[in-house]
Amino acid sequence: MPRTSLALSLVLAILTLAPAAIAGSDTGDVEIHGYGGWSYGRSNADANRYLASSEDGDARYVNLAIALASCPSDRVRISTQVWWEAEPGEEESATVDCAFAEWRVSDALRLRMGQVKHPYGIYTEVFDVGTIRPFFWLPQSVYGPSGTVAESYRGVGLTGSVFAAGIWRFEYDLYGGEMSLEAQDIAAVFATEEDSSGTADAEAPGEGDIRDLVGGRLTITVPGPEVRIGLSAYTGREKGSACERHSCLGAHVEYLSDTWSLRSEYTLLKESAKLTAAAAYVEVARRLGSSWQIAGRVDHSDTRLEDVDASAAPSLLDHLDITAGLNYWFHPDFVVKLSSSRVDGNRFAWPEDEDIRAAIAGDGIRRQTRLVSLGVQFAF
Amino acid sequence: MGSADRLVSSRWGCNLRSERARGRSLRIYVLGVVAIALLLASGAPRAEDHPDFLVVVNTANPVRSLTTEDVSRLFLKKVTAWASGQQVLPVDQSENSSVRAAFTRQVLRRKIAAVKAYWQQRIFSGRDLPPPVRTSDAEVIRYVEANPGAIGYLSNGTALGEKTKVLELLGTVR
Repeated sequence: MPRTSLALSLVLAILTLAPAAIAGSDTGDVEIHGYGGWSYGRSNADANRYLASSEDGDARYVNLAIALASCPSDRVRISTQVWWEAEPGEEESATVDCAFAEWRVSDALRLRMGQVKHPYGIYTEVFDVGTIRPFFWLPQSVYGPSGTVAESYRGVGLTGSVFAAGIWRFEYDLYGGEMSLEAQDIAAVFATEEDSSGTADAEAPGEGDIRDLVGGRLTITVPGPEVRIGLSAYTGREKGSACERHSCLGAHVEYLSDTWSLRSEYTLLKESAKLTAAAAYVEVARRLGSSWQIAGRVDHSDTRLEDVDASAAPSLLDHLDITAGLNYWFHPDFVVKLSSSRVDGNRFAWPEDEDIRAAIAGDGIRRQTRLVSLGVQFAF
Repeated sequence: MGSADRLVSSRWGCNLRSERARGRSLRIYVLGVVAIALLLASGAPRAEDHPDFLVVVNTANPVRSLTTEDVSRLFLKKVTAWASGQQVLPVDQSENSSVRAAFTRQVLRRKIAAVKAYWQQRIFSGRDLPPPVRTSDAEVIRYVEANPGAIGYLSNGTALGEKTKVLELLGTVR
């Protein structure tokens, strides 16, 4: 049985057999939650692959996650999540997003073990939960296939929160283990040219494993308006390499009210001496009444390769995405999102292989991509 | 701009555009951060004088009063243990009930939709689960009487059970 079918069968079996406890948990019950979405994307540049779109329009992107959680005692919590995704041009995939157990010593100290959601920045722990953000797609500079963040780590972590002076809330995470990052080996595109093989392969995003991982996040909730300010960082070694260090440092700020949501992040990624990438975005949304919401976002990243001549296709290292959106919330658990994006650069609006080969041969790359996206996202 | 203009092959052209793009995005980023700061500096929520609900605990609980901020922290599970060390067990009412709307507005100081978004964030990050929901005042009383660490809220004027007591709410109820 294919892996996807096996995972879906497992989820269906769990949904059928588990006690119905969707409305809220008591100790010992299994709670079942989930989220999903569908999107249609139309771009002006078939040559650039960006966020499940095509020039003729593409409606094949669908995702679904089922999360199960239980508290067998007042100190133990078990969390699992299975994820299924169908994406244009890719094989359907089903994966385990997380599966971990938590032991609560106190509010200030909780021990987590297993495959745990990666505590980094604002969105890593809720990567695809569309009902708590204004756009269907996350800002690609930080959350795209840039090798910056992972959805989960495998290992052991500590987390907790404390109030200081009665009003300031400090939340921390410390973790160690390993994780898998989705990233394009962008240096290889140019390195192949140097090898004169003539077959520059613009590989689709692949997974790179980071081992000997240590990281942490500190978030401070400021008294008064609900403002959260945080710092995140991790470092590890690339698997299969004795000395290739992969490190990331970031800062974020988030303000949420009934009307406004404002989020911003900055990250700096360094892969040993071969790559440095800086990324930042600002995302603002405002509710208009109980159903309508308008949103805007500017998302930018700048990648630099060391000892690699990228002058033949420098746009492969740049990304600037300006997006405006209009959402209609039928319910807090169900939203329709329409957005329009203007993208300059090809870091994430990735060209077809032949276009990259042509660019390296001197023919240039189409830098600009425009995208209109219509999506539905829900949660339960 | 024609499509030919968008095809950039010149190294210098690319670099110039890239530098302009970086400068533009930096300006927009700074403006965004300034906008955030201005918004944060504005407005405090309006205050109301009288709560439309009673906050109740089990009579075995020695606590007699709490601030609205304390109650908010307990219901959002930002604090999960009483001073005695016993686990706090908040219990919610149905989303459609008027008492929940009043409690959410006056204690949690958010709309129910915002509180739902908060719990979605907590659930899917694997950090916590929302309080169990009971569909009537009578069911909340039963839950509180069955769990010494429980805390719930009732419609104002509800008759209490033998093992239920009302907490005094300190501070401004908004």
